[in-house]
Amino acid sequence: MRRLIALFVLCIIGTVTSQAYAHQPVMDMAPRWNGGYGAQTRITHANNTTTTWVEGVYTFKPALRMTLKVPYRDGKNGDAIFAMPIKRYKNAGASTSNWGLTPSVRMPTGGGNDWDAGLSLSYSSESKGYYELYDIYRLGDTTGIDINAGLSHADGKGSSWFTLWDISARDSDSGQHLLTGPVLVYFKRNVIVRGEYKFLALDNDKQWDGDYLSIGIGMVF
Amino acid sequence: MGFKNLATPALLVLLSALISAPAWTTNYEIDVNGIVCEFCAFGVAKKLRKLDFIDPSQFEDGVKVDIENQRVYISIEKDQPSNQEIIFEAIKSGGYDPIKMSPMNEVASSVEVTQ
Repeated sequence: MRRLIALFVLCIIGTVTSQAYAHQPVMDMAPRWNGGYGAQTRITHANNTTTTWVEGVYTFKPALRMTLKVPYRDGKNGDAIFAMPIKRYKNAGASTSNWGLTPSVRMPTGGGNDWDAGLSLSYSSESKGYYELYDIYRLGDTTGIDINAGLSHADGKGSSWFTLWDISARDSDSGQHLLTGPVLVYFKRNVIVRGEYKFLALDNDKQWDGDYLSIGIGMVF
Repeated sequence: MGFKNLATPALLVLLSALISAPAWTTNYEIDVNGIVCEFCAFGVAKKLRKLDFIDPSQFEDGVKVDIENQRVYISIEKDQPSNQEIIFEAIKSGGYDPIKMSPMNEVASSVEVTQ
């Protein structure tokens, strides 16, 4: 019931703030500890374009992080995105959850002149064997909703698997599209590997073409 | 054989025994709210291992996290200054909420100390 309420609230706020701008944090799961930091690289293929992302995160304290994402495509840097995820955690017995509010800014490091502000609201929860993340954001002319939910399997020796299903909906000036598909996340101590494949389930977007593939690896310290 | 001839090896044996005497260490279990995942465990263990009084010869570098039961095990060198407040603060800085800390048993550390 609480999960349904969280999703409902996210949708309402997303509607209310549709004139604002938002963005998703770099790493939602880790590092969660004071002074933690990490980096990851992801390769995504979408819209017939391959992009390499270099991403970094620094955690001042569990409630405050700083992230930077820099894309590289077609032989040059794209627009970097800087964000400050603010989180409120709740630990209760065998579960942990958090609400996140993430202001962000997209900087014209790719050669343009436009700066875009963004804002995202997220909720994620993990209990033994289950994980879920809901994120709604606006960045530039795009409003997005991301949902990850599924099973987690820990071996008790420092590694765990997440088998999730992802739903990503986007609404921008060029139209709407919805991608959905499986996500696999693997943790081994401080190494994170994430792979996802999403197919185009709804296409009313003049600028979007085809499926989405992403694979990334990161480390936290 | 004179006293001087016996005194030197006896002194060496005594010193050797003192140098290699095992330290005693106490194991504790701590109930921690929300510690349900391996990367949760990594952050908490990392913070705890930095504490001076943790005995790295026990568990896994002095700390073990049981995510099935939301419990953390630590080993503290006896006679080392330590207190629950510092330990709880380390767990909180790892992102989780400690509830209760209880002593388990006292064991001989495999770390040799100079006395």
